[in-house]
Amino acid sequence: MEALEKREELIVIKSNLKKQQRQLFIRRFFANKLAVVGLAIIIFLILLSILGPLVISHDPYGMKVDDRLGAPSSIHLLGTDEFGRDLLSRIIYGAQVSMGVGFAVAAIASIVGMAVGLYASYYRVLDNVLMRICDGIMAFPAILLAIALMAALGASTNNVILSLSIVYIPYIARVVRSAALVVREETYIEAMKAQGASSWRIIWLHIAPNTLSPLIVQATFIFANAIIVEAALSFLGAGVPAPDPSWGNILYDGKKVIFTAWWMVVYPGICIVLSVLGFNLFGDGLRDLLDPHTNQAKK
Amino acid sequence: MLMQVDKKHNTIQPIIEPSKPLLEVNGLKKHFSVRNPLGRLEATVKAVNNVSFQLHEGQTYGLVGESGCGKSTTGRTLLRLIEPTEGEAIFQGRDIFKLRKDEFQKIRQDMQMVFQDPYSSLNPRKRIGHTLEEPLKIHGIGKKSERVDLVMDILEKVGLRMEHFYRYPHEFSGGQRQRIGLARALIVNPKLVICDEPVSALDVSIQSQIINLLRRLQEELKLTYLFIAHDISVVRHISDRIGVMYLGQMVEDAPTDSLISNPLHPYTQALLSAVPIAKPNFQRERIILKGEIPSPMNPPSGCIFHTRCPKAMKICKTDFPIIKEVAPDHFVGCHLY
Amino acid sequence: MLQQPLLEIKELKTHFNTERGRVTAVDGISFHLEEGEILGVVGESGCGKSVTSQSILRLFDEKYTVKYDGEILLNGLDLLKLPMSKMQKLRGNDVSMIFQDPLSSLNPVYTIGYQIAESVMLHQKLSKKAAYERAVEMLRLTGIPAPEKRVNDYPHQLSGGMRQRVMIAMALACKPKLLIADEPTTALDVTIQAQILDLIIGLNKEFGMSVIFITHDLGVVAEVCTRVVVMYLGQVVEEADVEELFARPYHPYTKGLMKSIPQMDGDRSQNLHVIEGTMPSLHDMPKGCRFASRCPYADEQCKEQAPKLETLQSMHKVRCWHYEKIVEMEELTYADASR
Repeated sequence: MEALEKREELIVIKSNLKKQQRQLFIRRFFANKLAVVGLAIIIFLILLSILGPLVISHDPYGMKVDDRLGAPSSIHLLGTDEFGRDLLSRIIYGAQVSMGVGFAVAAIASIVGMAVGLYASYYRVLDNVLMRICDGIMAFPAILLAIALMAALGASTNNVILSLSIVYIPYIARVVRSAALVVREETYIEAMKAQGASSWRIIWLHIAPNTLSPLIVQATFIFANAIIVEAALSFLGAGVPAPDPSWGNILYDGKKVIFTAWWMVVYPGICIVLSVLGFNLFGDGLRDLLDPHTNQAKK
Repeated sequence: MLMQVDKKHNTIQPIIEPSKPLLEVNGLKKHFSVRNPLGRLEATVKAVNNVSFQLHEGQTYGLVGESGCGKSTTGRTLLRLIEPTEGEAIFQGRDIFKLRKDEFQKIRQDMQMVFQDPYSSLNPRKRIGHTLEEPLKIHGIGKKSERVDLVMDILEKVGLRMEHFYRYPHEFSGGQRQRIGLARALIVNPKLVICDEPVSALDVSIQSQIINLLRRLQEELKLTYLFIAHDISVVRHISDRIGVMYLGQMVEDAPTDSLISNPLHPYTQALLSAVPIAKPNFQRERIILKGEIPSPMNPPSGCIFHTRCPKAMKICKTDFPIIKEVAPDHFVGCHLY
Repeated sequence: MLQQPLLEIKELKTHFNTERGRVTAVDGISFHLEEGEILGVVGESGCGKSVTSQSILRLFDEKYTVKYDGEILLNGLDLLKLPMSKMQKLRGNDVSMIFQDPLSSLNPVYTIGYQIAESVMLHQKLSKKAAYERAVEMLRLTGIPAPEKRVNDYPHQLSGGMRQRVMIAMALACKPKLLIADEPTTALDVTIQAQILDLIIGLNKEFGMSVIFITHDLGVVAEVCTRVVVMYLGQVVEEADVEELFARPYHPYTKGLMKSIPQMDGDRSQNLHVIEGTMPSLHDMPKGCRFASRCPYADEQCKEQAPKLETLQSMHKVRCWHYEKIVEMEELTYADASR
């Protein structure tokens, strides 16, 4: 059974090579200090939102009239809000909401935007239709469109995700389309056509993987942006509805008492800045890492 | 046996019964419309205009010409990567231009293509093994494990090793990539391979490796090649028969030795005399053509070559020369003959 | 006494800093160029022939990426020691260069006349009108029909061969002493290539312009050059007069290269000669002879010790341990075959 032996040998080659390639990837990622810092911030925030609720002792919804607007103390580490709720636990629960919104928006916008971008790049007629719709959406400032959509859909966390996804789909679609237009002209796509590959196969198995690196980078920026816009929506009262905490609506509540309870504004603000910074640094790093030109130099 | 008198050499030669052509191209035309931004038709580019030739089983037909002569377009229309405007291509008794898409799909397995640029012809995000497996998947050949076996076989055949299965294209040199491109074409066991400038992007020492490989595989697998290239010395080496194209038309079509030793069309003569020869002080009469190739949007009337032809006559400006058999099996489209 | 050569390169080394460490793309190259000569520099991609030519004009970023060693003497003046400002004056004036891709070498938003006139005014105190006249004169010299009209054309209005003529016209506008032509005909069709080669030979004969002609095509070398330098992996492996080189190539690489091109009168039934393997990477340079891994004659000595460039009779130079033995061996097999 010579063929069988060969196959087994091939499996060994595969596992060795994959290990090598993974190591090289990791080594190159860690060579980029800023990206590592970004990743550390993201991991910290994710851990905070997942493990935080298990550690904290206060109920984020539990009101205590006596403790209204209490300054940071040994009991309430970050102080309390105007209903006497513990700020630290609200920020931790808010992390779940804000990061969850960011993640969901990035994921939905990426998947839909990718499909839109790919099909627009492949079929000329679709291109005109889809891209004009995208232009229309992009013509409005993100926040304005989000407010309008929220007004139409009604206030709920799911609607925040839905409306922000709609806002950000064109941004992904644009990036994917322009990458796909370049890939579409490559000879390996023509080679697949010469084999008689179906359009579906060419679009999803051959063009799509080559648009992933700009897409992933764009998605990290959208993640960060979604957190900001969600905060802004909440700040304007059109975001995640009370009593659910999000960084944005904590900030909104703090606005009214900014001169008496600075902690209401400063701590959620720090969280927003930190998460945006983390994702931006990470996205920048990924862009360098996934750029085929830098890979070429490594050859 | 049929006999024929060769008047030139004054000998009697047996007529070799030509093998049945594998592919017969008749009157192939591809015209592109050039439209202005408002969608009005501005001009028609006759990229390929009335080209006919035959490919015989197990042989190599070389298609030469300078950039813009339509040789690559010809190759691509045969695979219907570009739909032809007119003409027929008889492959195994059927006109492949008339087939429906799903009928043609079966033919694609028999007609494969090798591309010029070894860098852009491989998907940078796919491991070599997967790139080679893809044609098998598309044509529904074999189970997963059988496909892996076939990929390993073909890697060996083109001079690569099993270790290369999981590598990415950027880890290979230009010559190795061209071997991979060849493997992708050969893995589905085709009858005809269209080679579009397969060695022109390679270094001299690598070029000869690939040419030898192409020839060895042709013998082993009984392949028929349509070899498209601009380098005449390469085409001469590998081809049994050569067709010369100029501005979308076939100007001369003859067996290799006959064409090289006795070029009849003035363009072929100029082309051959322009090839640099690696012998210092090599004495020959060099025909330097004046001017540039005219724009295919606005081709000259009469004979398309008359604007640059050193032997142009009055009739060339007005009348289109019909392709004639001037010497045995040697076809030329020129008013001189 | 020998006249001083126009250009003399002594032990030139060009080092690049890359992510994976320092790489020496050109490693100890020496050759010279007499006035009125066309010197061919031949080799395959990655042999350092283009790096050599760009080093002569110092076109690399010296702050971060490149470090030079050795000397490049132009009329006795060491170019590597010149300050950048002097170097800029020299470029285009004393030494000009033409490249492979004539489209990307021309700025698409200016007319060709403007671009030629600009390069003239950069170096010589001429009025705009005089500079334009020079441009027309140069275009006529390079065989462009109706140059008075063509000066006002933009690059995209010209064909590839025309653009290369414009590049040559621009390069020659200041009447340089030395023209470096880096694969000037590789992107062109054969019939157009023949025109351009004719032009370069004509300019050399008529004005005595010295040319360094860089190419991978031995056929082109045989047609235009008077002397040839063969390069492999950053080193000169052989140097000789063109007739001498083609009649008696000594280095196994040169021999292999010559045998591996399909000849117009070669035997078609035979396989082409093949140089096995591929060029090693600059990152892991062989210790001994750089060609040893691909050489059919290589032995232990070749793998361990690097040979020096030896000068034989009639100024033929070769970098090989065994060139004498190989010649003897070949004569023997030739005698056997003919017996």
